[in-house]
Amino acid sequence: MISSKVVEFEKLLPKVIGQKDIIKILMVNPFVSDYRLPWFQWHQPAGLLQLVSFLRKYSVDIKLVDFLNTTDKQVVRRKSATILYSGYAIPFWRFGISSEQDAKSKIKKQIGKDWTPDIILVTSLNSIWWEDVKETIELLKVMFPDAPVYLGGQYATYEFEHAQKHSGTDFIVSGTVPEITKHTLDLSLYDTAPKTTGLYFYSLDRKGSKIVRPLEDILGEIKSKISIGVLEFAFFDGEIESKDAAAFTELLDLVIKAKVKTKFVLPGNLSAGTINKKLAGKLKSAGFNKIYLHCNLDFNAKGDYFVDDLETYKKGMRHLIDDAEYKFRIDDIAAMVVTGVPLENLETVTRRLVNLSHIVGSVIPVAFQYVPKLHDKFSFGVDAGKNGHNPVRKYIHKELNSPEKLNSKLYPFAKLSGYEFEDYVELTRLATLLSSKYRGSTFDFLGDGFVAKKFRESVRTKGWDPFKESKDIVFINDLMAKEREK
Amino acid sequence: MIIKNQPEKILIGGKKALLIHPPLYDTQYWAYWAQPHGLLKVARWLKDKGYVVRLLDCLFTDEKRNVKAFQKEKKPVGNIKRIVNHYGWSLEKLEAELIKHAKNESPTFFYPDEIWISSIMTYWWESTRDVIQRIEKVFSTYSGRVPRILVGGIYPTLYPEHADLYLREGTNLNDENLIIADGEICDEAASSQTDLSVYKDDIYDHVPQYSLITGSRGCPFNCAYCAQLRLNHGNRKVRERGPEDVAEEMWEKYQEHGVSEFAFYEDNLLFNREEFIHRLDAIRRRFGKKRIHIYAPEGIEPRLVEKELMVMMRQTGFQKIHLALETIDNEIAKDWNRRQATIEKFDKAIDVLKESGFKVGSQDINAFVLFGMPEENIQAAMNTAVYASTRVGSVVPMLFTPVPGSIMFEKYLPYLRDRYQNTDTSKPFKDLHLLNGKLLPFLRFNQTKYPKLKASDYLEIESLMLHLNASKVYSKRFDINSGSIVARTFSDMLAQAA
Repeated sequence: MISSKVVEFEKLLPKVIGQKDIIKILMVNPFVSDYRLPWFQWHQPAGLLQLVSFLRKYSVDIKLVDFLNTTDKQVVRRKSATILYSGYAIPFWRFGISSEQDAKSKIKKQIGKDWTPDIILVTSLNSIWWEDVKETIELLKVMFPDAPVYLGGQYATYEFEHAQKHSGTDFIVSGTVPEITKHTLDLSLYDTAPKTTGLYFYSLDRKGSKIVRPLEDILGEIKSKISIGVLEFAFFDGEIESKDAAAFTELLDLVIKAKVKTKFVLPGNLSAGTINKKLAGKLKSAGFNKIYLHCNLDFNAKGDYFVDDLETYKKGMRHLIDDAEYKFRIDDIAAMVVTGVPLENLETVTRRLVNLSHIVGSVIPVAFQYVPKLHDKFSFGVDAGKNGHNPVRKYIHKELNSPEKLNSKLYPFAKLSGYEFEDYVELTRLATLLSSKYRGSTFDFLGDGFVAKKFRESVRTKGWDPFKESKDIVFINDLMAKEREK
Repeated sequence: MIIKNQPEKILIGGKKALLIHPPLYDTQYWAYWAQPHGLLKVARWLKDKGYVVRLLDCLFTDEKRNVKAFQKEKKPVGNIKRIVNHYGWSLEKLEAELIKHAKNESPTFFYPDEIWISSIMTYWWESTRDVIQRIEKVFSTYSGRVPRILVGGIYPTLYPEHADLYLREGTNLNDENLIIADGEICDEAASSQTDLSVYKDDIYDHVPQYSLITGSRGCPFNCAYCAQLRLNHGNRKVRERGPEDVAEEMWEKYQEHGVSEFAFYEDNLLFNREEFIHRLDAIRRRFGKKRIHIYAPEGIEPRLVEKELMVMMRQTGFQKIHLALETIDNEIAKDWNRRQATIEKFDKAIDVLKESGFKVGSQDINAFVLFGMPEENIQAAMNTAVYASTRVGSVVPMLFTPVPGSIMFEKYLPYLRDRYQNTDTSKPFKDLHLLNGKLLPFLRFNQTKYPKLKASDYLEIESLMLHLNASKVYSKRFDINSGSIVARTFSDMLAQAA
């Protein structure tokens, strides 16, 4: 097995910009294979697009092939297999291409005739998709045998050794480059500007710490993207920390004052505790129409990993509903709830879902994606064994020893936590029930309404079971029979 | 003029007929099976009599089986306002089509001797009235002669006196010019096949790829909320068209128009078991290995569900079964004159369906749940919904509409007259449109039992039923009583909060 060479970004740069008058770069966001691809529209190759911005000042000719980009409502997909798993036949899809030939023709179509790259940069958005990255690289090497391939992104960063061994790339560029994070996502390489795009509130300083980008820059980016047809912006940062709430509010103020007409999404960027009266009002005025509250977790806790108490959610919601006049249960506000964490207590998770659906109006279960480099440091509430190994890491080593086996959509830690995959399917069904909308509204099962009370009464008394009395008799008879047997 | 059982008074020498399926006014409308079944039979029958016909189907759907709608009005109902939409062609569009026929000089469009209108639900009567007004306006404006108008269908059959009096509102139509056809015109017309070729007209962009089929008529029972007995003129016998005839019609539609989706609209589909088995045999012989889909959206009687029959139905093309559950409370069922339908029989039917290959928890099996009844026990309705969700998996909420001709309508007519100020008992009850179940005609009545009951609660009951259906992951809904740790935790939380 050939191991790929590792190259630091600073050393890659001269190769990109220093060798020819104009260097031709092909950037690729590969197709992906998975059971589902929720929020596909936000699977943009953000790092590559920021790099495009950064390279603009140099003599480069860049072409982009983004297999996950589409102007349609759904990204193209084809079923590549049906996986039999825990009694379910689950379709396994390849997203981004409709056939094997489609990958080649998409690349050809995108770069045009008589254009051959001098260098190829491939990104990877999740290490569980490493096989697609490998396949993409194989294809690129056949199509452009003379161009060196550089692999960056999540897989290269978090499964560095694996990528070295298995990806087939020539070079690996690992980690994030602070300089690049200051740049905007350049959408000019798309034939049509995406309707929705990512936006960063933070960049990284030289030490790799998060710093708030200049607010005027962010505003400028929003305006320029609206001018090319972008209709919606999703913040691609992780959590916007409470210490930066004032700066974020200030940004929203700028947006409001500039009379920018657009829509914003917060896919898990704000914790309930960060929302105050002022921020809530600005969110509404600035056009935030999808607010999915961040789920704070403590992976060192025992059993119950959830950090924020319900009161914190109640307070945050009061600001959104009472102060900002968001419509409870109608507007798209939801609490994200991470599920599938190793050694979790499913009863605790269920209670969390139900309580948050009552408080927030809607819940989004987010399957926990274990990333060894990020999560190996946590105890998950258990002490290391005598040999010093944490049972979670031991389990991963034994049962989940390749990135794709960690795919969160199959709840790989179910067995370790003492549950079945079916239990998680049930949890997903419950979350779907709690968040389903009819006539534009979710149903409050714990609410004070007439109907909710009647429903609960039916459950409490088992009034729904017309045979409950006869069952009771059978039950007693059975007991008596058992007693006699004794 | 009301005409009943006198076909000679219906056909009086005309040769050109315009057939109209009116738009409708309602808060919700599911257009999936929106074909004007009776009118399409009339089309075939008239053609056989030498007529030239043209159909104006105002509820013609797009290829996805949706029909356009626009807001007509907002009706206050208790603490809410319900939006009543106009579904289908606007009256202006219909008028434009009528004008083509009313202009004498038109070489393409004939001047009709007769205009046949099909009117289905009693609570949609107003749109039929509005269509008649347009007909009179157009034809008197353009030619001074209004063709003879004949109105048939369920509404004029159930309440002919209403149709005869109120459909001529705002017109100068005399008795001779507006005929109310009460019931089937004659056996020949009733047993005609439907004619889908009338959709081969420039006004439509496709011929429907589905067809409604009626293989039998009648039901021996008389459930208090159902008006089938009146519709069948008191005849409790289930009358069959014959298996070969039904199979022949389906085959003809498959061959001529590529129809592969059929819906049996019958009062009691399974009542004549042997006859129905012969029908299934005949269909399978006709279609061989060709794949068709058959539905019975009106529901089948749970009492008559048995394995051999269900397996055969599945093999013939039934993928979904709709069952009349209505209530799990046998005492309430008795009050509704449904002694034949007990929860024990329903529950057994579910086991049989499972054994026959239909899946619980998906939409293979669907249960109708009736609510919004006068004197209702709302807890019983809720219990029924939860039972249907847990035992069947798919709940179909049915808000009760009192239908003229039914026991319930007659029983509560005095209340309804008083409630809607239709107090002149010498005239038919006029405001049938207000009896639409979605407008909650018994809300006020039930508020005497439940003083805090609001209109929005009824909508919430309906919402809850649909929420319970809408939790499907991997083709199965969430079952609160599944016994899983998640279900147990959820039901514990609910019970504790009760």
